[in-house]
Amino acid sequence: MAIDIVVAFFLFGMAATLIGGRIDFPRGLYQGLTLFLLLAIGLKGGVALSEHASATLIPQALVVLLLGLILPFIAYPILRKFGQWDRTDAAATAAHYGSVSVGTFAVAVALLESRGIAYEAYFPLFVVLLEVPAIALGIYLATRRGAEASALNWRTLLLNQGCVLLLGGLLIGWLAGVEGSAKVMAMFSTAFHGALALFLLYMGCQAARYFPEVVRNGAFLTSFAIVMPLIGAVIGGLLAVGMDFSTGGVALLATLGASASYIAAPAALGVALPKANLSLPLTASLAITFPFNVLIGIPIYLSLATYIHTLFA
Amino acid sequence: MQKQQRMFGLFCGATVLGLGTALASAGITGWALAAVGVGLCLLNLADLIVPLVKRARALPARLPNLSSAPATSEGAR
Repeated sequence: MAIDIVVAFFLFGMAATLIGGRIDFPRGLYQGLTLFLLLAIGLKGGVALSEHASATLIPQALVVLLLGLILPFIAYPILRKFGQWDRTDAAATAAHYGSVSVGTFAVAVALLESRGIAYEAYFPLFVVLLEVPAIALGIYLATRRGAEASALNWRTLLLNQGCVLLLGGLLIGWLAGVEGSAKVMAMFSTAFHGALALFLLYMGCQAARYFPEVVRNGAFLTSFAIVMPLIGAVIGGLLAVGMDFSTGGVALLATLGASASYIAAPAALGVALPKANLSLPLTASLAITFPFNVLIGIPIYLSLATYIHTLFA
Repeated sequence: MQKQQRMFGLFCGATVLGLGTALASAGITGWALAAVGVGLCLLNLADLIVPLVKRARALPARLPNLSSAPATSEGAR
């Protein structure tokens, strides 16, 4: 079985860090790669939007928003009832699992493109839509009884790097169209997989660095961080099938449902919920859910989407 | 609290194992998911059993009268 080349970089980063190998990844390079990937995804989505924008996007966007609101309502009671976590930590973790990871989305897009599977190219719009509502809901769940009420910082929430760059890319791509964006798209398309490979190398190193935290937090966190993506993937996949998405679209919405934020959510929740122990959701999303989705989840979501489409075709 | 967490973990492990097996039997590569399910079950079982074993091993030390009972009765005789 041939392993996907970008996933191989992730495994390499993880293995090298676990055996004590040193990979000095400059912080600036990681930030540069994130910026590049977010803009590339946004631009591509914007160009697609300029070609395919229609009224059907509105109900689809509403359903995607609903997905972002459903997931924290599932994660929160699990963490409260079975984990016996306090309200703030449970709400913060639920928010991470309702929000999305652009890195996971990028891996899924790369896999679809390498296999030549079509998908709704305006999906980056859904990524932007899924970033925010779960975080707002998490803050509401943590503060609703007033005990630790702190102001919801909409500025931090809406103007995080992920949202701004994705929206900016979408807008530029939409305004420029196919012909206008051709000059820069060559660079963004050609370098996308290489940049993603480097990004995943860094993520592999980071995931391995969080492993001691996984051991310290024990079996419950691991169980939750593996089951919650599966629940999210099933709900996302079902909603996508209901909206009559293509095979790639079903796989992508399942991936978005399964992913957990590790950039936007910690940044926003760190400000809004200063008492929350953010190492719990960060460990779960970065060291367990992200590797699980990249190595096992995404190929399964894609296989399931293909299976469902052949079943109903 | 710990027991509730472990039982949830065991349930998750069994569910993931079942899902993986079901996918594999449907022709979808679910063996990796099944392996994750087995891993989760083992992890939670270990978490459930290890404290019990530790407690059982610590029992004689916590009951000094019981462990030294025959010697005491010998001395008294």
